[in-house]
Amino acid sequence: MSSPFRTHTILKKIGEHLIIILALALVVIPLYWLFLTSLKRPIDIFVAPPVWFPQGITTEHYQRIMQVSGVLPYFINSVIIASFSTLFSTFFGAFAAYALARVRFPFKIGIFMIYWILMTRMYPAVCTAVAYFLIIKTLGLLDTRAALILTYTSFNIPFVTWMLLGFFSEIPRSIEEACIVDGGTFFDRFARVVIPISTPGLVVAAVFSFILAWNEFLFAVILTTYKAKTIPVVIASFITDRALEWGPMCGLAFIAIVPVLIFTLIVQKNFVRGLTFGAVKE
Amino acid sequence: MAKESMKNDQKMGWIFISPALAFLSLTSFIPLLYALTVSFTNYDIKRPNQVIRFVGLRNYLTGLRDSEFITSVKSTLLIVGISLALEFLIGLSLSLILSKERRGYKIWRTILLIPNVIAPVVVGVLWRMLLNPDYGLYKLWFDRIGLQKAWLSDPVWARIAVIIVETWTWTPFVMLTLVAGLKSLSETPFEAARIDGASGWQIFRYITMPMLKPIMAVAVLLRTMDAFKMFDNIYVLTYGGPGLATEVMSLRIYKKGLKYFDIAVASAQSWIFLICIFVLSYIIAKKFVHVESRLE
Repeated sequence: MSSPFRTHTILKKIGEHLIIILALALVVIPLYWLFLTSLKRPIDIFVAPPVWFPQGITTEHYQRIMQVSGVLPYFINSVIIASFSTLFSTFFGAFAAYALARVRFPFKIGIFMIYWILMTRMYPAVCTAVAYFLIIKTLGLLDTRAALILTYTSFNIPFVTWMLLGFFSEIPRSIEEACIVDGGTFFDRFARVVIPISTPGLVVAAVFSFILAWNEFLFAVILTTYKAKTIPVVIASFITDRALEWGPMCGLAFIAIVPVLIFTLIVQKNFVRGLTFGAVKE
Repeated sequence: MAKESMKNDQKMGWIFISPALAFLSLTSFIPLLYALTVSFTNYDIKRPNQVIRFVGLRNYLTGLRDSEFITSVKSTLLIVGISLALEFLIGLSLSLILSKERRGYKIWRTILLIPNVIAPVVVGVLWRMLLNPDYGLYKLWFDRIGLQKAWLSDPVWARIAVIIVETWTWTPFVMLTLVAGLKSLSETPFEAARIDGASGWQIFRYITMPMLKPIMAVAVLLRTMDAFKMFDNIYVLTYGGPGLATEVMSLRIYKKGLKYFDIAVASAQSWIFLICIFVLSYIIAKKFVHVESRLE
């Protein structure tokens, strides 16, 4: 190889690495700052120039979040709401996906349902917000956990169904035929054959459902006022009510991020598939 | 026997899909239908005793003449348009680098994904802090390079801030989708081109781009649909302010319906918004994405 070519390759490599480092810095610096602020003593928070490596750290903000501000019940709300809605949506979504994958419904109901599922992914949720608020109000469910569990279950069912439809239709039918020969019913095939081998798909669907329910804000802020508030709503109210309490606010934000990061690592392999509504596989 | 079991399967199939159908009805079909009905009446939550009449397209005309709504349409298009362009520009560049199979790249990709998975509310809080006029880390940095701007209180710079935040949040999504796309491409055409002595730019322009088109289309479709949903991050970052500078359509409809309780007009505006999104998505989907191929 001639030397100009080699210099060119080395320069290109350096350039690429610089770009990666820049991109990483753009992501990591704000998050480090968030975490750092949650541990800084109040005197270190409000200073210019900013303190990068504080002399001392404190957990007082976390203690304040839990004890003084009484955030614990809202944290429990978030956990309960996200868990139950994940459970229900994965359960019902799996049923629907299997039926859509294997049964030929009359009047093209299968195709109709597929389009409906895609449509729910398409429109901005705010378009249903006003009417949905009135419906929940009529049902007497305003400011209850049940309302949010119901809401997020519904929001996640299309996603779960669509994702699992992809996984189920990849399963060769011959595997199920053995079960048919043995006299297994439709339900047997689903519960004993298809579900066990689709566990990776179920996990991905469940994790994405959990993240959505955990992060959701619009309906949480509309449907709750006091009792059933979730963490995102509390975070938002921090900024409007108590604008200068950065320490506790960052602590709370960090608490909201941690479960999501853990779950993201779990589904890393299938992440793109989940993000793109099953359209792109990695 | 076979026929009998098929009948049975169908019966079970109905049982299997009915809970999903019920839930979908509750959150999408019924509210949408309700909003549609209300949008054609003089329903007013503040006058519960008023006789409800059909008023034709009156709410739609009011909704379209509403200057705040029109401002929000313009802001939305501006913010969405610029952020999508930036997301794809940066996302594509990053994906071309990060799609290579090198040591560590997988971890970098996972780290870069973080802005996309954390709650948008947290993203809003984070950036509001970074851009705080007195102690914000980024604000102080921008000051030092001569960009002394009132980030969240000047109409123009508040919009720029929102665009930066949107781009920060969603570029990872574009990048990751395109990385997956690039990795799925067959090596053969690239090798052939290299043997024929094509330059890097020629390979990108005439081989990578055309082959990447289907996945690019999916990414554009998903991003377009999601971009119009933006709400949470703006709610905490600017709440639409200053004035109406960053009030996007979602936020405007939310305020109209659930703050001022002008439910009939908000419903009409919801449907105008819906129809625009449907038309836009339909155009993109019809052209590039095949939906029914998923069904056997």
